[in-house]
Amino acid sequence: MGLESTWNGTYFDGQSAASQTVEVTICQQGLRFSDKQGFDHLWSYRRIHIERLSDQCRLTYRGARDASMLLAFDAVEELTAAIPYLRESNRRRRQFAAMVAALTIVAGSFAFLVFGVMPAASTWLARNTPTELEEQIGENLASQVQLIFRPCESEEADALIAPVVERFADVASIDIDVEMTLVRTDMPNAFALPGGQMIATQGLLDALENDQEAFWAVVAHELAHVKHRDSMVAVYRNLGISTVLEVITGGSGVAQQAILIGGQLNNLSYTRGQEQRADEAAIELLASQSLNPAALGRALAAISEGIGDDDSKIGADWPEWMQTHPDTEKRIEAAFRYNEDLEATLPLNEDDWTRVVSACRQVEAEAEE
Amino acid sequence: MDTDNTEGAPVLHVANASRIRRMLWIGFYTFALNILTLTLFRFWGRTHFRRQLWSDTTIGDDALEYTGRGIELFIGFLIATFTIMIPTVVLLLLAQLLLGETGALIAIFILYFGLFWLMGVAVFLVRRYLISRTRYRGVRFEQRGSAITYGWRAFGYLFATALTLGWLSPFVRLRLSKYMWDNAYFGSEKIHFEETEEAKSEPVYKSFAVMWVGGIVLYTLFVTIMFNAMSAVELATGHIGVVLKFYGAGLVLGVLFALFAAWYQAVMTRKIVKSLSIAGVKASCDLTAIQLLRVWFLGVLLSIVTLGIGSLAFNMMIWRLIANHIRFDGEIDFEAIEQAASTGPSQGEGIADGLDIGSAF
Repeated sequence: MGLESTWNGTYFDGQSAASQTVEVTICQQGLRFSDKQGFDHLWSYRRIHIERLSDQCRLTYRGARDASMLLAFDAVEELTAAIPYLRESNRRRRQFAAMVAALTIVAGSFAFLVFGVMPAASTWLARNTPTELEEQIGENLASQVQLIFRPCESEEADALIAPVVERFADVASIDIDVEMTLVRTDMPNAFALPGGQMIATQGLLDALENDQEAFWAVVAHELAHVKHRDSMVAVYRNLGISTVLEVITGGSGVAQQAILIGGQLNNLSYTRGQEQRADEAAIELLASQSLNPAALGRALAAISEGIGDDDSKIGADWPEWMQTHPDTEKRIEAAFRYNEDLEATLPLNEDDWTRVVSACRQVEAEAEE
Repeated sequence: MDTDNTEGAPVLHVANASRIRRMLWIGFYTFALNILTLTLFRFWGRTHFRRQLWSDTTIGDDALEYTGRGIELFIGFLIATFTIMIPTVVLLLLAQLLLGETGALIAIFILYFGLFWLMGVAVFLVRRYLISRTRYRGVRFEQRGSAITYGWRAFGYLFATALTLGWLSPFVRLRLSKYMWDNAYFGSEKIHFEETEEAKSEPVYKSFAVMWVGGIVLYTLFVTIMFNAMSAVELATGHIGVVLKFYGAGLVLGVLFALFAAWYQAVMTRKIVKSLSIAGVKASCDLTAIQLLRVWFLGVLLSIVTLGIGSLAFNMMIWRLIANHIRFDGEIDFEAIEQAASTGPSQGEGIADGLDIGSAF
């Protein structure tokens, strides 16, 4: 430390908004000055924080709450030259790096929880959820789904489908009661809910046209989801991953969206795995029922065509890792690999199948009348 | 203290000298570190931004000072997350899973109503935190009043506004601003919100009517264009052509709507500022719609070009514009203003962060 030097500063004592012009001496022990009440102050360098403003610097002092001092750049230059510790850039850089490192560790723990612990826990929880609870959840979700997709409520069609679905479930060793509901919507789709609830749309029946075998292939695929508790796993995963990610990230902004997309991509890879496994199980089940496994390929092709899954649709040409399901063409190819030249024994005769296919349309027509 | 050239009366100008490049840099490293830290850095990024913005803002010769800390926001976030956000989300999901359709609907209805009330509370808490962390000439600002009262008022006004198809919103905005400002203090000095003659002369409802009617006309035009320009099949299947037409029409009509909205926003800002006074010194504002519109366009363009990273700079540009058009006509006796009684909350903004609402800053 060289010779002491004196500068003029503007002092705010933190007691009132009045400003005081004070003489500040830069000395060995710190900054020394007297306020207008005649009190002497000594701000030791270790506790001083310097902030650069547009035309001067603002100094605050840990221990003097709300007090601050405005000093000219030249004075602060001299100060930081004598006391390198005060160079904000060095001090701040260290503090900043430590803080970022600590946050990264916390974030890493969150990531481990979200991407490691929660998926594993979801599978375990799904398999160990009491059947009654899963059935209750499934019924509630089905009733909510049916608020949007109205069920056909065709007793005749239900009576024809139910025994076949139950037989398939027995063969697949599914230890939960299963129920297939036909709903009135034109979009060709089918999905499984928790507790053995399955939904198939009128649009699916229309898309499959007269291909009864393909319909049972879809049923076999959904039964595989029921068997593996995939819907319950999804409930737990969404409950955990989505909730935690959404809550942690706050849900808006570029980085927030990037993190959420990362979480969703992780989830997508899991659902693709589930779909592939369900396809394989469906092929096995179809073969065991003297049905051609290639029917699954025909069903997938019909659904793909029915939803307008052509190249002009947004997302149609996105890579597989951005999709919920594996690439449809690959799935169709895989199913056709099992194409067998056999005389299929269809579960329903032609008349009964026609009744099933036209059930929803008939209910709609009756309702309109 | 400056003096007004025409009358020689003392004038205290508000000014902001923030630079876009500096704010872009803060936005960029906040983005990068958000990725690394699963967005936990956002509390520190926001604090850095505010510290810079406050330091760049002067009233008279003295700069504002932001004293908030990232850790305070982080703690607020943790408290709100574990006491409000996670329980709410879990309750919503459980209601959907375990209750029948009627029970689930009732539970969701109640929870959503509760969230609307909570949004008002959150806005007040953000404001209380922000103002308590603002220091000028060594003296803290202070927000008094009750978050719960504000929450109920905002909740009631929200429904009244909906019932009047939005026509109550200018009145609501002024009433809520009055509640905030009438309970605000600079140290020991109360800030007043009273409609002066200058404030009353602002054409609030005229500009609102133009925006409202203009909005309806433009929206009708948009819907008409969309239905005439494409078939139902195109709409249902989401073809790329549809998306382009949608955004193209939206952009053109959006620009027209921005014209109306800018007038209303400029009028409202002027009215609120002109209603404020402290220690007998009135504030005034000469912000114009064209100035606001210009900044909106530049800001939106900047945000798009920088893929959202420039949104902080956009917020700064709006603040800089408004600040540079505010002044206090008169002399404030700073000697007479003592330190605020309260130091403010120890943490802040958690609920607003959880609900993804609150301050643009």
